[in-house]
Amino acid sequence: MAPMHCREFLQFAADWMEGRRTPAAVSHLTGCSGCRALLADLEAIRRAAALFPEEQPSPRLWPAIKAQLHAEGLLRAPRPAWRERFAAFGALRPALAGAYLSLIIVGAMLLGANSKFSRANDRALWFQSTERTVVPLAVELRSAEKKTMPVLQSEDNDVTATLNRNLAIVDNMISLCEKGVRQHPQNEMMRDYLYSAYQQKADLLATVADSEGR
Amino acid sequence: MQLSSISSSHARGLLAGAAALLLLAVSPVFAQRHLEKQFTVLAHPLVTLHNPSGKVIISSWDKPTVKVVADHDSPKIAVEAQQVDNRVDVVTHLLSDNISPSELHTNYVITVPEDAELQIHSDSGSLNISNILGDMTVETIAAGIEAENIGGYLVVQTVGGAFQCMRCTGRIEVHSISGDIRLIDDHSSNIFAQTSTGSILLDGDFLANGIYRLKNYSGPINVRFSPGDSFDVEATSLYGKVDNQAKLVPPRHARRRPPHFAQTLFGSFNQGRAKLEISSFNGIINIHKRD
Repeated sequence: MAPMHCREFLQFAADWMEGRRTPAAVSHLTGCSGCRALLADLEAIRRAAALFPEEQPSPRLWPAIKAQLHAEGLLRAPRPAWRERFAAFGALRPALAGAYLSLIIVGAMLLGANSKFSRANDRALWFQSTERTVVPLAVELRSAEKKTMPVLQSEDNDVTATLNRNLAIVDNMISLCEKGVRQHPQNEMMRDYLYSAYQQKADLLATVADSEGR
Repeated sequence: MQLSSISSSHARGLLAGAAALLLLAVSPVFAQRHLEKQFTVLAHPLVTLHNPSGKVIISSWDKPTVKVVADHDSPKIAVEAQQVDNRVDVVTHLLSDNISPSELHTNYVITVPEDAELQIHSDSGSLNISNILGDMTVETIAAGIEAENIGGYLVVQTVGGAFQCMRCTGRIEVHSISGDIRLIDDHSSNIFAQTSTGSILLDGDFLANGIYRLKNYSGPINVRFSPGDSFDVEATSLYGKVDNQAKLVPPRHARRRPPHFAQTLFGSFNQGRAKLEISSFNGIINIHKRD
């Protein structure tokens, strides 16, 4: 059995969270404290998400969070709104609750990183910090996508084609932005684009989930 | 004789047609396919519409009345319009799980008081909204949106649908993934437009103290200006290009430090009264004189 590296393990993290565990992944986790910490974070996010009530959250939820992030200087103003997805049409699907919670956490960390690491010039440190922040979100989104995508495979119409095409566009954007962040991890604008791409993916998956009931 | 035979046959045809029309008129199926309702409302009513597919036209009149006219061809869907207090909800219901996309098609013509607030959700088709002063939110997946003479706070979200706003005066916030965004002859002090692969056109007034933020990933962003306009501009394309025809002086106001590898443009045009922030990941930004 070939040893598994961290990057490969991350590909399996969504499966791991769903209880599907391969011997190679188990073996890697035994010897890797970083991946154990990551899974612990994911588990914490999932536990927190499970506590979310299924009814639609208060429309005041996001404004309150945003106000708090502004007050703490973690969110630059004015910034493109998150479109109050929590309060938008249709109920938020529980499968996406974890991804949205991760978005809040990652948003705060990525956008707040400027002040936190302003004196750190080490590119590798920046990269590690950004990756550590973003990976749990990427895993959450992959997991949400797995649960959501069957909705899109069942029909063939204009709406489904549009959703499929735009999911591919967003995935491509994420890939480009990740490459950009790897090259310029200290650049705030690059991180902002990456974050926006993740946000778009979460919104799009929510739209797909909402379209299930139509 | 020949004439008499034709007349008799013609008369029988007319009678059969009239009988069929009578049957259709009293049939509940026919009743489902055309709906026309009016609701008396107070000031600032809220009108919501949830329609999977079709052409939607919304305009205003000077009556305190919301009028809904809906037409569709399928017995597998039903249209409902009802009033709750000062809110009118219009919904296209699916009566079957097995509906083809063409059977979802419902066309609406809705007339509202001009101070009405709107919440519209339409997956595909087209939306045409004009002469509304109230706030509105519009969400679509593939449907294109054309708005004209909108005075309130307009929030638009599409996945692939294009959006155009002409002569709009309120705050405008548009998010799309692949839809093109066209903002023409607007007189708004606050515009935010974001699309990933679509194009953005801003060809309107720059109001003093106005803020105009345009952002995309890969499509072109086109901004038009006149010699009398006054704005500070901050334009950055991380991996693309910035093409500017405005004669800028060094910025009068503080700015962020640009990334060293990006194409950037900073400066003030005339007194720099408005603020124009444009960013693209790898698209081209054109700031050109109005023809």
